[in-house]
Amino acid sequence: MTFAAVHRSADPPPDPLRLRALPDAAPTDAQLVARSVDEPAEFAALFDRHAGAVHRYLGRRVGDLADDLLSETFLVAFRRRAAYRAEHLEVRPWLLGIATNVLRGHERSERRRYRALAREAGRPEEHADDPADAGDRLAAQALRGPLAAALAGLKPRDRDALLLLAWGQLGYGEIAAVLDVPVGTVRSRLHRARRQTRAALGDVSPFDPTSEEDDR
Amino acid sequence: MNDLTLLRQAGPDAAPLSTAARSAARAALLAEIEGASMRTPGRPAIRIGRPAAVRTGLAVLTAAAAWAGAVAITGPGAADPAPNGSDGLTLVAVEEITFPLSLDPVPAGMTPSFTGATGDPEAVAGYTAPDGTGFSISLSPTEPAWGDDPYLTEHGTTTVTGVPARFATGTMPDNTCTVANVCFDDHPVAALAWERAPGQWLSLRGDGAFGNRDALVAVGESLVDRPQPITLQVGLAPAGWSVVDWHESSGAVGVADDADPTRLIGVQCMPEAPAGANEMDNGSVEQRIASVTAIDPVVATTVGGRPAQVVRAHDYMDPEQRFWLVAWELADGTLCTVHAPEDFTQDDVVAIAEGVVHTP
Repeated sequence: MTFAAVHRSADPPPDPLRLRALPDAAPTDAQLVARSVDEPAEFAALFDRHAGAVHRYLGRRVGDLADDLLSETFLVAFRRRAAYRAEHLEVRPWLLGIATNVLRGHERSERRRYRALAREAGRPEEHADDPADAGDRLAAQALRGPLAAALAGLKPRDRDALLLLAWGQLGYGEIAAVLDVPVGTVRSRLHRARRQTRAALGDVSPFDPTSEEDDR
Repeated sequence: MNDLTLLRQAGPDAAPLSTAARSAARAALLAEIEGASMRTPGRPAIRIGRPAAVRTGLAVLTAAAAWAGAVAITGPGAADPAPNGSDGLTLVAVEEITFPLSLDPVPAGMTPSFTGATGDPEAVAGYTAPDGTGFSISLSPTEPAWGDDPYLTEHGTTTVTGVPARFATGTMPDNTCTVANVCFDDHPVAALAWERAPGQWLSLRGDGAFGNRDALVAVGESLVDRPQPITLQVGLAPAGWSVVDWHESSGAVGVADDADPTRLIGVQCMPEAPAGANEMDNGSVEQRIASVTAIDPVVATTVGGRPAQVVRAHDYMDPEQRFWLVAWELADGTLCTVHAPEDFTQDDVVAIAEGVVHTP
């Protein structure tokens, strides 16, 4: 037993090192997955830790359907827990990858949602934010419709890569791992998705000509 | 603004995860887990975890202490067998489950938590300060090994109540955080081991204020042979069954058939978590019962005078895996459940539930 057992993923997380010294300290995600192979109940703690993040990712993509897909994601993850390899991937990206796969059966729902949001965009919204943010907020609000339409128009695989990057906040290596494709393929998909998104926004695009590599 | 920022700020948003949706998804997962637990040979039954912010580990001190204390007793000290047993099933009293040692005095501000299971170490008690630092006490029948822990860099010998002991100390690197999410730079850690009595090895590990030799020796010298009962007790179990697993942090006790350890009873009482980062809704009795696949209609009953439900159900994936589930809620909102093999009678299961005592 060691005081720390840090594992590495394709993109080391920025979180601080956690104290894992004592046998009774909170186990890491990876430890929970490993233990759950023989002691299934250990897996429940992963739900408590990650349900919110997974649901938010799903909810942004499919709205209310996220409630059902959250359950499906964790059931799939539980059944595949023996295949999880901590040295390849952190648990949160692994769960988001499973969620992405679960979403594949609901591409129509996802597109319909984006199109509906595109139609509904433009209606004024109420906010209680800092007035100093009002300019950016209004600019963002004006883009909601075109952006949703742009997402609806992307190829599913390109959209997966883009939204894992933007909403899942996964690194290129992590996206490659969860989609089971080479990193180069991820770069290609992201390049295409981002180019099409910019093009779809057309005149309303607020984009600066920034690099795509430094804006995770 | 670039396109990723735009997606995050102006992209479709998600509705917050509702309590009902969270509870339903969690219940579905737990039903799957419980089915898998019932299928896992030799494993103690249900252990439903919230974020494990509490010290875990433990099992049985010596045959005369915790382990024997966990065995259903049938001798003169036993309670009268419960009248509801059938088909040869006789319910008998289960001796109080305890951690066999206490600290005298107890360090101020430290919260204890105990765990036990078959294996080595046999038992662990954790004492945690509000900032997540603290120490653990592990009981083993054999000399514990520290392995090649990279953070234990200084090794030496000392004594605990005059008994030779070995210790190790070290420092965790910068930005080390405890389970309470309090972070430290250059966090001290220490370990201490000695044979307190023949066949009773103690291993202490501490961090922070307990991350040094003298603090752990002081803890070691304050240990006394005074059992501490855990918060969840199983009052009744079938004769010939034994407590094999107990985890105070997850409020669970596993009881197995001595003749066939794959046959398990799982008892759990989960208090509502306090508001905060780990806030969790346990759901209701109805939701808990609804999370399993009922074979027969749900039956309303009472446990300890509280409304309860009992159902015969099967596993979510494997209809051949059948079990009883009874659920009830204590007055403080704690949700308790008992799982038992299908060949028990409904009265057996409810009688076992009646014997459950939760004293937070």
